[in-house]
Amino acid sequence: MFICETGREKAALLPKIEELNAGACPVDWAKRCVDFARQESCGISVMCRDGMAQLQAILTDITTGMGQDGDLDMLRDICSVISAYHDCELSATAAGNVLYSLEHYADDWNQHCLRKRCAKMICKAYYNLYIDPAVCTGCGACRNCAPAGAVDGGEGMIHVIRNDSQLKNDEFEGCCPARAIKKFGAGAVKPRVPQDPVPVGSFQTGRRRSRGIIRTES
Amino acid sequence: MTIYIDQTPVEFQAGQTVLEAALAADIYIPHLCTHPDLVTQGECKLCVVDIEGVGIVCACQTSAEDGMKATTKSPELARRRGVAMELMLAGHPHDCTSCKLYSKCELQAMTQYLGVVHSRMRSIHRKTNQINRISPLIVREMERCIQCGRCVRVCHDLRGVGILHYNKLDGETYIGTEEDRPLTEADCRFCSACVEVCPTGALQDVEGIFRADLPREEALVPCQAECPAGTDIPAYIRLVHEGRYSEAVAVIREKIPFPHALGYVCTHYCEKGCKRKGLNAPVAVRELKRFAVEHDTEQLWKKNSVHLPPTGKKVAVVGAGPCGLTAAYYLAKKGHEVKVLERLPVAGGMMTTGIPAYRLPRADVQKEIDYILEAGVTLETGVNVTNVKDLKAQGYDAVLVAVGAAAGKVIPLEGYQPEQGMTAVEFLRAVALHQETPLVGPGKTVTVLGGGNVAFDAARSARRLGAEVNVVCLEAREHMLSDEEEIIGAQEEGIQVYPGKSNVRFETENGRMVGLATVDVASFHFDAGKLVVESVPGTEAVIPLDTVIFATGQKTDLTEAFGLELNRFGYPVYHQPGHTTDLEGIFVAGDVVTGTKAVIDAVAGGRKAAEEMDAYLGGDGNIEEHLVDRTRDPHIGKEEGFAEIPRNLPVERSAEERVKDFDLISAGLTCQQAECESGRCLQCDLRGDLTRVRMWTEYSVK
Repeated sequence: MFICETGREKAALLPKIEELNAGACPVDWAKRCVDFARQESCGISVMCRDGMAQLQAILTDITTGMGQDGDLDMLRDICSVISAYHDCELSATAAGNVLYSLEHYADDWNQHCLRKRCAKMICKAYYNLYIDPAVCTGCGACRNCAPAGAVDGGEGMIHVIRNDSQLKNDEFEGCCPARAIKKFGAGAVKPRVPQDPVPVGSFQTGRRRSRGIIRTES
Repeated sequence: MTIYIDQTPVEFQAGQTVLEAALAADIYIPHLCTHPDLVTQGECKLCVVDIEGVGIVCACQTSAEDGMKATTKSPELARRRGVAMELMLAGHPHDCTSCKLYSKCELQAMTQYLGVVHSRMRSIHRKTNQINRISPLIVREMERCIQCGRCVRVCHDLRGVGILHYNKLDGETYIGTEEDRPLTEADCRFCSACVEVCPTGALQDVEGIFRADLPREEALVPCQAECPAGTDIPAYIRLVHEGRYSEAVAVIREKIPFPHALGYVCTHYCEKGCKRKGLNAPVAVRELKRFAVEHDTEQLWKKNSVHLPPTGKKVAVVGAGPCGLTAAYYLAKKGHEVKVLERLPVAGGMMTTGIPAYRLPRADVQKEIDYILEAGVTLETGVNVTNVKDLKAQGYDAVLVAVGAAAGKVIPLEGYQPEQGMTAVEFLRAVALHQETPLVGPGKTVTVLGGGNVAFDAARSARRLGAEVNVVCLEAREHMLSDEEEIIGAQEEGIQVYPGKSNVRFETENGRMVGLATVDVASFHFDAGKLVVESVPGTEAVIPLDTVIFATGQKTDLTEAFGLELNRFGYPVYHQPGHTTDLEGIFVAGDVVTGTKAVIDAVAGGRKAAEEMDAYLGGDGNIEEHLVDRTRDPHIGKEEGFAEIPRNLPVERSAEERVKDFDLISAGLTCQQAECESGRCLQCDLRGDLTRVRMWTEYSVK
């Protein structure tokens, strides 16, 4: 007996396990499962309505650097209960997916939750964007793709990202014909880029300046 | 057929679920979304049980089968219930003490049963909580909502209104109306079934619409609770709506023998209680009563009216007013031989000699008195009982003194000339008995003191006799004691109303009163029963008059010679409850004990006295009647624009026309109006039909 008629059809539209195994970020993938289920939930079963809302809240925290000790255990506890109620296929499948991911990709989860890292650099809070000055051709495609003020530069200049908060999306990340837009993980050393746009080819891609002192090779 | 719940064999009927079978056997299984009157949906997942060979399932969704073995308690079941409960509590306020449902809340009781507290889970704040928070009659504190769906199911399945839904906004589920319309615009019928079934404090009644001093079942139907006689008002309004007027009258007649008279003049306490006034205006209950009586062609009530065989007991009733006649009617039906003694030439009391004919046609009162006489009551008019003890001596087993408050009070004022004044009681009685009223007529200026209904009866009667009329009262306009329609009606008829005036003295010329000197009132209060007025200096004015009528209160005209012990205000000393006096077998009731009150109060008093007297005479003291069978259909359906339907007012004759005679002012409701007006009823009585949910503490096995 099912609580809602469309739960099974909707469950079929959840992100697939093949996608996870093909290299998706396990946490992001789990969150997308939960986001979809919550969006599509008819809201009648407590497991689907409140369960998905709770999972979404926890997963949002884990993917934005606010994961806490014990979150993973709580996820396992909640998901094991939700996935046991098959009268709601949608929430049961979504929770089952979260459990599967937790079980098979425990390292990724621990990294997200405790070390605030996303190895695949998919969770937006855990990476930043830069334009590789060695690759940038100064074509301006990235500037056209970004909101005003987010990317600086002109024709023939190496472009510089001023603020990447609105840029972490597939459209921007894939807009550079030369593939100069790159990611670096949160907490990693920021790659050397010009402070302001400079003509293409004029930027020295050598050693970094550190603490304002230019080190010379000895 | 037997099912084993934690090894206890439980008999069940075919079609019952495991949960129903357990609860019926007084074994508790936790549940929240399940309500005895509603179809279950398995929403809350608290009723999980472990069934041998099947596994863990919701007991509310599982049909009981012969030989089934169910376990209701295990660590895994507790874990599952705990998670479900925590998920619900995550979106619920942590503090119970600020909630009006504190200690009456099913959710709170459940947290105690399961031992679950808010703790590890993230608090969920729904941004939809603020939608349509305030409505007339219903408060929606949706942050307390656990979305169990009872309100949605009761609104759809039981009431057939179906305006509540599970709505979605940005993935968030919330209970709301279509397009989040306010309840008034969403065609809510305001039956409050949703409030009744809500297990938390999310849906509440607006504070102050129910009386707190009554048992809950009574308070839930405020019109009936306010009616002194306890008339089943929602039932007869429903019958009027269905066009079953004769049955409607039978319902009214279960409690009052003067439905037509009260249809004209009842003070309608019921309308003051009517919940519909919180929406726009109360249901015109009195007009519907009149309409029903006037369209009762079958007189069904007579068919089921009970008349017990003679008991051989004799009862005398002194005073043929509404109280005395009501008591006489019910006592006669209980088989006693009843004689009513009236000192005036007509029966009816204030209904025929007080209230003017333009409000209450005499013929209609007489018809209802005739029904009482048909029931076996003997009436003797023109008999003045001087001493109540004489009646006992004449062989009456019990005597009811219901002589009313027939003497008007005259307030002592400087310059008063008795030959130019009278009390409203005297004046109205003279008009009613078609006696000469030389002090009131064309060319005379009549000033009435007082601001109650009696004052306006006197004023409007004087106006009909051709006089110029002023009404002067102490209360400010908005606090006047009379019904609003009386004041407006009087002003339309050209009567001057002077509210907020204190009387100083009568101005006299040559030993004749010519005017009333007044001063504006700033405030007044009663200090130890004595009136203290603060007046505004410099506002002295004189209201001209040829005649003064005092409508400043009434009292009894009993004297010690009547044989009853009187208190210092002249009222007989009696014992409550019981309406008994110190004299064996002598009872008092009506205005003579309560002071001037409404006809419906007198009828209620007469009923009480009849019960007491019947018990005294050896009967069972039960005068309740069931004159008609009635059913309530909980399925009320949706009605477009229900909240906005305005109150229907009967057509009245124009002021110029009606001041010429004493004919009836109001034409009563038309058929169409009556159908519409009765359809405005919120049917508060349906709410009491919903089964009360038993808390876990009330089960023997828990």
